[in-house]
Amino acid sequence: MTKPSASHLDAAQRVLRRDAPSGDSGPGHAAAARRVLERTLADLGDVMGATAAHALLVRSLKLGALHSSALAAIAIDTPTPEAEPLPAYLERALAENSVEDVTEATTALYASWIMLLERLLGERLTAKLIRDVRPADTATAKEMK
Amino acid sequence: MSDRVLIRKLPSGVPGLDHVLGGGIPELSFNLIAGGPGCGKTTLGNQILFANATSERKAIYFTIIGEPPVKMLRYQQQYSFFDMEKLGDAIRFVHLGDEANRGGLKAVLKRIQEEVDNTGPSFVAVDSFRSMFRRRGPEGQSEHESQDFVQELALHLTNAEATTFLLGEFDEAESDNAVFTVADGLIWLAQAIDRNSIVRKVNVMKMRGQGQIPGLHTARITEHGLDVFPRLLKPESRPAAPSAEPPERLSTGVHELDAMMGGGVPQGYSVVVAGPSGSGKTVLAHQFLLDGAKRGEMGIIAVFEKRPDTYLETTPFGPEFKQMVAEGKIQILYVRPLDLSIDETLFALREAVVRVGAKRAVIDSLSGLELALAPTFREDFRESLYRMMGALTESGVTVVSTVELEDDFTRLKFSPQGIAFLSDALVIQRYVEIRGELRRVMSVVKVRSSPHSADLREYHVTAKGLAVKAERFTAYDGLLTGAPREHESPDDLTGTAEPRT
Repeated sequence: MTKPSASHLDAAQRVLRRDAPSGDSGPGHAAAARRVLERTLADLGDVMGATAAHALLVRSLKLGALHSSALAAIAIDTPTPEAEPLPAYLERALAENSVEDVTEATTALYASWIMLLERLLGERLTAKLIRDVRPADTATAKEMK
Repeated sequence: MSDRVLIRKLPSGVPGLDHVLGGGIPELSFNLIAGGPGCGKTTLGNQILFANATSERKAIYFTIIGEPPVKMLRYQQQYSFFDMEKLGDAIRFVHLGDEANRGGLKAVLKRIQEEVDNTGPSFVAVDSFRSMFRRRGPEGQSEHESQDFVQELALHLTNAEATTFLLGEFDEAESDNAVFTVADGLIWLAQAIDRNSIVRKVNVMKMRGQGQIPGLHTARITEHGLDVFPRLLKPESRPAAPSAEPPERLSTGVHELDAMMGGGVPQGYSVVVAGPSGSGKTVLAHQFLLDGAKRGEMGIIAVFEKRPDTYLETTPFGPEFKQMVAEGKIQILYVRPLDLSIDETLFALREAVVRVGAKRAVIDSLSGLELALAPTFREDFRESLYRMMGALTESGVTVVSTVELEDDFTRLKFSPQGIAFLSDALVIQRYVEIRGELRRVMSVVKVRSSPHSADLREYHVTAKGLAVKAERFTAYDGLLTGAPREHESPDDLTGTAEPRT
């Protein structure tokens, strides 16, 4: 249960790659990941409320930390959304890492998030809620545009 | 040009509920779905929205405080009405918990108004608005402010041309709440607890502009969502059969019994076959169905005590009966054997009668049906049965019901709980003790508006069904008393009694 599957990782990579910059800058990749997280939080928050969406992201952070040392290093003492929005906090905390570490961390985080949502809501509903999860060329993704 | 506005009635998506509502949900109405926790408010709210929302006529389901949306989506998608394809485009779920926590009623109202203005939905549900009133928000809203909220919401949503459903927990002591006055429709859901059983009830307390069916209607939540079984009203009294054209007679499948009944069972009659365990009631009921099936008359049989596969093993006509079932000439209805209501049973029977075009129906047995009923319905079993039989026979179906009768030799009983009066015809079967042997006798007690035999006839249960003797049982008197006396000269008493009418 705690380990994202290959398809979760694949979906996470696909979503993150869409916003990723072409260069090798760690801060650039961290900033791109923040945008993706903010977008997903907004999608989910609309349906389940910002607090619930944030709580799921925090849980995903803890699950993702089991598979990413960079994430494990920052997963302690996560801030409340009032103090600092979690995506911004993650961007700041990951920016000093290498591109590889940022990619590994954000992939683990996002894949855990997808896994958690699928566990709670099923694959189809998760795909409906997180519009970026499905490949752009599938019928489901087209419907949601 | 019509001088009256035409109010379109929208389908609720709940089987049976539109009938209770008086045709459906009035378009643009402002409705309250009220009831205690766990009674099905959220399921009903979702069911209505999924039944009506389309890409052109969108719906928004607002959740505020109460069941977390993640949980609601997790559980609601289990129902067959939850069409994932409608999500996002036709139906949007919007959670307002953060607005409620931080800004109270005003913030919630503002967000609802914004969403409605931006999206222009045709349907809106707010679940659960009631929980906001019970907690004091940051502004410490009063009951007066709560009423203002409802008034403003009603006004805004009606102006926005949205049919609206507010879902909230209320108990019946609050029936004077001002929100009930504002609402055009008030659907009350409840769970009645009686001993160990729980029965869901729906009461449409108000539906402006149309005549709803009053009273408490049974409901059930299945994998398809909510199902409502409209309460049966008393059947209208049937007109007497015109004397010039007597009703068609149906054979029971037992030639001698047909003769005793004056030529078979008049079509559309309700026949009760009462007798003790093992007396052959079910055998007779099966003969009745098989006789019809052989003539091309479809039949249904409702069973309560055994599952169909087990039940089929109990008939002496096993292979023949199974063949008829396989060919669809006889359909076995196994009605869920726990906490049933009469309305639910009737719905299943009626639906089957229409589906297969049944001319004959068997209820095996009324005793089993009574046991399967939730305790709350057993109290008025007689009245319920009366309504059920009336509703079934009104459609022209001839119904044979079996009923368990405990042999009581101290008094002559025709049926338990005095349900004999429900029947148009009554056949009793009894055991008699003759020279240390249990033997069976039957008699036709009544056939409404028809002459019939008054004989007590001995019969046997054989592999081919009931074998009824052609002559009256004349060797003994007092067969029904438990102390029969043998005649010295039985030949003196042979012959046939005058037929009764």
